[in-house]
Amino acid sequence: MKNKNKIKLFLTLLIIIGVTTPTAHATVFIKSNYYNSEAHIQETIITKNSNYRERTLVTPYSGFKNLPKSIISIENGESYDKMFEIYYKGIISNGNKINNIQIKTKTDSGKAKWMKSLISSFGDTSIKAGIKYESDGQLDMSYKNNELEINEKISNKNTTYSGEAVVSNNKITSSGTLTSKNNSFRGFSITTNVKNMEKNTTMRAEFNENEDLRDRVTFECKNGAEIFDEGGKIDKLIKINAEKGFGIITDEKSSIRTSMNFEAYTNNNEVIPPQSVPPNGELQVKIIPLNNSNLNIEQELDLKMSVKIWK
Amino acid sequence: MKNKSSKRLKIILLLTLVIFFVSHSSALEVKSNSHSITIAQGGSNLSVYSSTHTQISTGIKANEVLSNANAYNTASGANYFSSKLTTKITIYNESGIVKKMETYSSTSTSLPKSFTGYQKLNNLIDTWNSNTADSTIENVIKIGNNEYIFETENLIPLDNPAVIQPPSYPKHFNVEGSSITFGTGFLNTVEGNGIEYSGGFGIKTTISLD
Repeated sequence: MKNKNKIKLFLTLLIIIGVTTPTAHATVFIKSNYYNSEAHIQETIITKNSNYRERTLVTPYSGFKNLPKSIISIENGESYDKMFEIYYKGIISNGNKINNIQIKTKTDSGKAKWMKSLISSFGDTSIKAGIKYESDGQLDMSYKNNELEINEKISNKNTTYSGEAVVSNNKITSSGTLTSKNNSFRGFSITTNVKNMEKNTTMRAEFNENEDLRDRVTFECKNGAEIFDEGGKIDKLIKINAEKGFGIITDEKSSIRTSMNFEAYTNNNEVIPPQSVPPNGELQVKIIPLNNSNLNIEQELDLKMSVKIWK
Repeated sequence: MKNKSSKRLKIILLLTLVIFFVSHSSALEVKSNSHSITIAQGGSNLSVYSSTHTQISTGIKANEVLSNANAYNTASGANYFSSKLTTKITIYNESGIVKKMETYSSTSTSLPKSFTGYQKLNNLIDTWNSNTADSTIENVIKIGNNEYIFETENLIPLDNPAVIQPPSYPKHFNVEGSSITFGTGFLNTVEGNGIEYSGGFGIKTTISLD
């Protein structure tokens, strides 16, 4: 009790208004602690080849003048090199309630912007981090809170992946679109792993060209995952469009190989048997020239997977 | 008396056995095939939807399924026509996991003047003999004395790489501004233990003039 009273007195007398605007070059590691008589906040930031800014306001819980009775921390940043990393971990302890989030992104060929907001006021806490990115190469991402987790691994060549993710204390969303460039030998692999309600689920989409198909084919892949305490969903869609004058058929001497896979486990036991599109196989597609010069023929091939998760 | 009792007992035993076998054989497998014909005529905005639902309940041999659905649609005097046929099979097994298979075919046309045409669709899921989903679609459009035929067939093996045959295109298609779209596809659903999965693929073709 004595110690608590001392802390309260100390915090009532003390107002900390901290403004930090460091500029990071190469790798930077920062660990911060903020607290008043209501809440205790711990933050860890590790970033490589990026700039970021952070502003934190700490006031006594009992209030001071017209300032809000809270702890508020805002951060944003962006990469300045194709190789960059950001790791953020924030923990709010408020009485018996502890909320934490983690966000981790690493790429060898991309760019990114991110923000974080953290508020603890009148017993309510909210912590949220969001990131927007674009890459053409390797991209590893991990988002976590107390109960939920999404891990994504994207590998692409001669294509562009643009995505964003938001992590809060009760929900995580991640979405993105991959589009083809007018280059040869394009391909991608997108793997999404989701952990919630003791279920560990993984969905993968793959696409690879075996020959130069620029000016013959365009394609895109939509990727999405959303999880919350009571459920969630994962979706993937690949659309392949033949350009004018070309048609799509399947053939063993394929120009394109594409497939989707899904598996779900609870404590190493299958929740449902592993699934794939096409069933137990790989779709092998050939692009052929069409001879109907007076006709305008458009062909589109779609592969899709969708999973809902609940208790 | 003894003989009578013994006879009664035998009859009861026999009846019990018959009831046991009848109830178990029907619980093991229920098959149904359905055939539907839809005819629609006239109107400037005509839409037809056909759906056949076959439900199969099986305790052991969940892979032995045969379902066939056909649809035949005609339109006369219309300048817009669309149709979709869906075949669905639902399999329930003992572990509480529900499997659903679905094939679909769809056609729509947009023509600048009155026409007569018909669409013939055939969807077959056969896991008993060939383990394939087979979807064929044929469209015939008549404008005046000209007849245009579009036809395509997709064979989708359930445990091998899929085969999609290229559609046949009409040799002459000289109605200005007209177009026809047709497509087929396959969707597989598995549900159980807090997961609902669905996955499939389809191909869509649109033919029009420049």
